[in-house]
Amino acid sequence: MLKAENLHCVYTSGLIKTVKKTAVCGVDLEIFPGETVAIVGESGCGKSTLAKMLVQQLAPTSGEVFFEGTKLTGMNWNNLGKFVGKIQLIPQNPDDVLDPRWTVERSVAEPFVVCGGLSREEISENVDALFAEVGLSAEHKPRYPHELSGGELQRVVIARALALKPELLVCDEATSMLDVSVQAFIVAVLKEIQTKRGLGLVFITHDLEAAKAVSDRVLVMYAGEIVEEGKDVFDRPLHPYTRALLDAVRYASLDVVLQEEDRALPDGFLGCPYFRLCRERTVACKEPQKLRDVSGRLVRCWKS
Amino acid sequence: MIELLKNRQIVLSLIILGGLIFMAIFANVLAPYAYTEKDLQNRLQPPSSDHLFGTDNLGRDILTMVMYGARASLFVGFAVVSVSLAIGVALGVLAGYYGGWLDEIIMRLTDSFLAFPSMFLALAITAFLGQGMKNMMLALIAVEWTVFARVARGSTLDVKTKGYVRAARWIGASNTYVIVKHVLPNIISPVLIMASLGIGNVILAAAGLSFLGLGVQPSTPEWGAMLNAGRTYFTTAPWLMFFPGLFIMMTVLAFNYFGDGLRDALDQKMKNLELEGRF
Repeated sequence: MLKAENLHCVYTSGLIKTVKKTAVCGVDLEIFPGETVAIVGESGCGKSTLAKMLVQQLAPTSGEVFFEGTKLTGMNWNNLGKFVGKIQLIPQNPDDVLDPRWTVERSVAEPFVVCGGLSREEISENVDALFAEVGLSAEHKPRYPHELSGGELQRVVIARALALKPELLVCDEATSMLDVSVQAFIVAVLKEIQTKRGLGLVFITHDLEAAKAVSDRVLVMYAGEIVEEGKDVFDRPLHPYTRALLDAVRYASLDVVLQEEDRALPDGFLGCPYFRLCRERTVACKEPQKLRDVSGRLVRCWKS
Repeated sequence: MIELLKNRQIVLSLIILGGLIFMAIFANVLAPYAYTEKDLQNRLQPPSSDHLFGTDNLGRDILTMVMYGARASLFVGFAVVSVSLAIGVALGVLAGYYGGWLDEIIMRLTDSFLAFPSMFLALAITAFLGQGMKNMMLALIAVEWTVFARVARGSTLDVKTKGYVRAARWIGASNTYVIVKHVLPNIISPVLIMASLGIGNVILAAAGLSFLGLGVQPSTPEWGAMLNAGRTYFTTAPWLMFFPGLFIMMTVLAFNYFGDGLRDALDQKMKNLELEGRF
């Protein structure tokens, strides 16, 4: 359904001395209808940048995104309009997506109003149905965003995203701001909607447990690259980084929480990005690493 | 709205402004004399029970003139600020929202207007166009719109980065829709604050121009023009300048107070919103 080919994103800053930071580096990705893909990785590994590029909120430096065979990247806004609504982003901070001066009912109705063609009553019925679908009651409708809790807000955002009958939902850390019980609830709501509507779900998170619980397939990102991809990644991690990431949660291991300078690689280094931190590194790791197919699992490590 | 009335500054200034506006509207009913009525026998009379604020060099009642003068001053204030607000906000929002070369052109234009001292620019324009109320107002608009353009642009830049603007775009909303429904309502509070402070400034500037003889013709009652007319008699009949001056001060002060109060009230509301928004 959604396919990304060789996506790169380089952020450039500074006027006189330009500093370039590669956020995403050569990501290939395909999402099939009705599938849940979790993208996990530490902060700053390029997860959110990837999400923004997938939903066309950010133009990739190079690489292409296709939706059902149509190339979305580089398309102008008028043509992109046809795909509007098919792919929706659910961001980390629901506060930000809702206009503080609008009641949540109006915010959820906005997609219908913008797309036009519906009467006031029809819009109202649709909004009611969406509120029910995400488990909100009618009493929430006339409230303003600041009068709702984080979990309720996130549900309002999900309801709004569902308005245009999307085929793919990209949840960018959609549960990170919420407490554990609410997180579980939102994840359950998302899963239920997915089963009911059969939509694709990209679940970006740093919460490994949530990723494991919801996903059909997991992508592990490190330094802008996919280092491991497969179905039972958490049960049988093959890449040293995936193992370190799991250990960090299980045993509070500090292997992945080292300082920036400890992990910095020399300029022009083309080898494994995890080289400096990897306990199992050898000279061969200085060579560029490709994603290798290891019994149905893609791993970017020659040792696996 | 009710919350605004809890602010003492706002209430006080609203009472003063309400009184002034009432006085201006009903000047023909409230004024004890007609402003054209000249009583040459009672020239330069000090304040008395007949003439509460005294009389001027032509024997006209100062209280009457001050009352009618409020009309001219408030009209100039509101009209100039409304037009400047419309021009400034439109240009500022366009510049901030679209950015790029449009932003550059609009903002360099604004900068070039701002580079002149405002009174000097107004003086130059009235000198060029000729004196009179209309030209004075044009001159004041030329000075005043820049402030609104700057404020509107800044606020738009801020609002533009908000998620709800991006979210609206991603459900297929046009730029015009986003500007009208999301940007304008969210930048309106700083603009309104600037407007309430701006009215005071404009009234003061208009009085200044009239004082210099570039604004309203001396035959029409206007506070600045009254100051100018009273100048010659300042040592012998100070009330000629005192009362119009007092009203200018009161009006400007009230508008500034109103603007300050509005800012505090709206900021406070914003703070509360922020605090409550964090769960």
